[in-house]
Amino acid sequence: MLFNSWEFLILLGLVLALYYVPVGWRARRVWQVSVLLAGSAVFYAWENPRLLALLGFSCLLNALAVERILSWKAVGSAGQCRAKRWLFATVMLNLGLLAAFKYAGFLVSSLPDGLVSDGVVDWLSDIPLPVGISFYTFQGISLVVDVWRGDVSDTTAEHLGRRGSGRIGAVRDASFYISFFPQLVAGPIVKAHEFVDQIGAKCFGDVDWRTVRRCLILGYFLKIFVADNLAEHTVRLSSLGLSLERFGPIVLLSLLYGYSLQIFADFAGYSLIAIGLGAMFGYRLPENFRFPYLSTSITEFWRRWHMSLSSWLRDYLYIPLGGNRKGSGRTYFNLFLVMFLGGIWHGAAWKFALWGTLHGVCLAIERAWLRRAGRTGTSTTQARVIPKVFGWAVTFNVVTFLWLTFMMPDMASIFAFFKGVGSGNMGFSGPPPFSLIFYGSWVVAYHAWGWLDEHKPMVAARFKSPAFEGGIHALMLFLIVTNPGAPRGFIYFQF
Amino acid sequence: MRYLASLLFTAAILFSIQGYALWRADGRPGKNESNFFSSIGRIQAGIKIEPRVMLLGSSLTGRLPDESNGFEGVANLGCDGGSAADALRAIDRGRLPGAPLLIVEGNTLYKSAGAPPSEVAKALDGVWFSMGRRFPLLSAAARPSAFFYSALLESRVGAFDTTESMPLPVVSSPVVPVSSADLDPDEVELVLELVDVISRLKVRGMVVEIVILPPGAPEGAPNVEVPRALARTADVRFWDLSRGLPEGAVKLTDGVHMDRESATATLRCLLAEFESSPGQAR
Repeated sequence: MLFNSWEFLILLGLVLALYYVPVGWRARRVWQVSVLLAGSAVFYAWENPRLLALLGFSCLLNALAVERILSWKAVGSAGQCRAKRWLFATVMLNLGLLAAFKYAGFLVSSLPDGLVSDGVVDWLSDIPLPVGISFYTFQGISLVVDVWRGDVSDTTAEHLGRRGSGRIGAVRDASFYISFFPQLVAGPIVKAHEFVDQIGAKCFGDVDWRTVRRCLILGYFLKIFVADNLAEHTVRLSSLGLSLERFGPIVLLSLLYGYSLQIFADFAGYSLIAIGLGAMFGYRLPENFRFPYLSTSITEFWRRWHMSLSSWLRDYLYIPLGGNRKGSGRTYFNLFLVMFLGGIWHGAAWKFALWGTLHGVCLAIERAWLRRAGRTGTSTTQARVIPKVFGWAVTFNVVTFLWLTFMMPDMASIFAFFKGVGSGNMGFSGPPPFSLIFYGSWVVAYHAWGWLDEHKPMVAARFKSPAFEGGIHALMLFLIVTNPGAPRGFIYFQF
Repeated sequence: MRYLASLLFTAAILFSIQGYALWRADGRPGKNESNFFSSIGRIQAGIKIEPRVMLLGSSLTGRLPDESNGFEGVANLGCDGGSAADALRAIDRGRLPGAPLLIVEGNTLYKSAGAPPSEVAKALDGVWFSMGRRFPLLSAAARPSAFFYSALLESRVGAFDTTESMPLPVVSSPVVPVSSADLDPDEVELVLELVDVISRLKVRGMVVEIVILPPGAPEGAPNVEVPRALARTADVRFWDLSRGLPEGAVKLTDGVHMDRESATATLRCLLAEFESSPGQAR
């Protein structure tokens, strides 16, 4: 089910009404979590009910593992080894599930010809990709790891570790964390220690409606007005293939920069809607984007873009691998590995691996350059305007051109793109440049606002008055209603 | 409180500006930057009037002028990226009203053979399309982007006076074809489906004419053979306008679509022929 569909609005209205039905304080927690679980199940099963079985299996698996880990940890040092085994087995099972449903066809088809029969390759390639599996698998892993590390509160640990009649409540809470519908299919990836301690009875009066309002209006604006309108043109980049070389640089670059702004608007829009919906039910979901196109380096970009994935990879992969504490060689290896896996997390195709690896290369070059600059005494981090602007321009263009590997179907299409860009054909049709300016300028304005907020907070404060906010929200709502794009799914649903 | 007052006040101003702009544009600005919304806007504007002639087809048809360009009673239902099959089906199931005379563009009919419904066809069944019909400010024609894009086009291309244009100097005339080339199974299925649709429309009192618009297509191509087979099976007239046209009689903007002058001349030609003797083969 899409956030930008009528069915979703109906479901949301129903769930919200039931969620805040006056129920006694003691029963409220159970009631509210059950309502959200049921709503999440309907949300997830809407297009393909069979996928619910897999989600249910993932929930049960992780809930059971959490209970076992907690009970072995309670035994003391003697149980630590058992708890660790349970942790390892559960992480492997989670990854196995992901591998089976997302990567099996890809891995087998990458093997040399003749090693596996064509029938098996076809069968594995035909396994449908369950929507959101990459997201809920990562949350499942986060749950067992955080419980094992002791990163959740004692009260939550006690609740999740209940046995006997309390086991139903433990399974319910664990399932709720994994399947909470606002973040179920496309994030933000919520780490267990950020969420499970929040599970509890909520009051309608405690809802932070300002956050709800801000996130929902901006999120829907970015998705429906900006991303969906840009998408009508940028889709040509991935669909025209070799015909791209017939176009000139004005059209092709308009499409590419349009895509760069579109993917931000699409994913940041989704994340904001998710955060707003979470707040509506009394839950704080983590920030996922912080004006990423203001970044003055690739390192900074990854601190601002898809922050929940970056921090997940940092906490559960990069740091356990040793991070940057085991020498420069190991650090570079860790960077490459994390970015390669981060790339392939997006999809079972070499193009995603290439995209991630190229980002890894950029990070490594940047790191080496910064270390060298540090040795020669040339500080690149000092607040000088020209290096900052230069860094910003390079970063934005590198990120934008790397999106080509992310969205193009093959290398031939990328070559066709560059052939067209270099053709010197300055003719163009109006819609792509118009669309880039008319819709893309809102993303630019949003980042300009972000820059003001970060660098000139006193000036930004003037634009935070309720009257100004009301006017801006009216403009956004007006454009959502009168100028929506053709409805489309979210780009990150495919991951 | 200040937030709400500002929200309502700004919204009222924005809708007033939009309403005024729509009124100034006679209910429909020239063009949208989006093919999808251009098509929806054309259709919503076309069915708002009670047309005597409906033009059904793709973006080739979309270039033809209509009531907003001074051709009273003419509605243009060209679907960019689609074909006349989309609008025919929608009229057949009552989603769109019909007109006494339906002029069907044949050039792109073959694209609907074995193909899923186009985006525009799907949108005709959506809530947003109905809302746009009922509330003009929510119609595709009233999109702020359409006003800006039309103004930009107008400033680049300039206005065009449709009253000065003459009909195309055609030498061919409409006929009910007696033969057509072999079609593939998907094309046959499409033809049979549309024959049923056309027969039902005839019962409702509509006259259907099928035309191949300039620049046309080579003889034997599915662009020509599918509509010819449809005309023969449904017993309606077929007219390949592109045959026998003097060189340079039609100007194209991108190798496919007619410029405004040629499109206007084409429409004059179609109206002169079909309105004088609807449904009658010579």
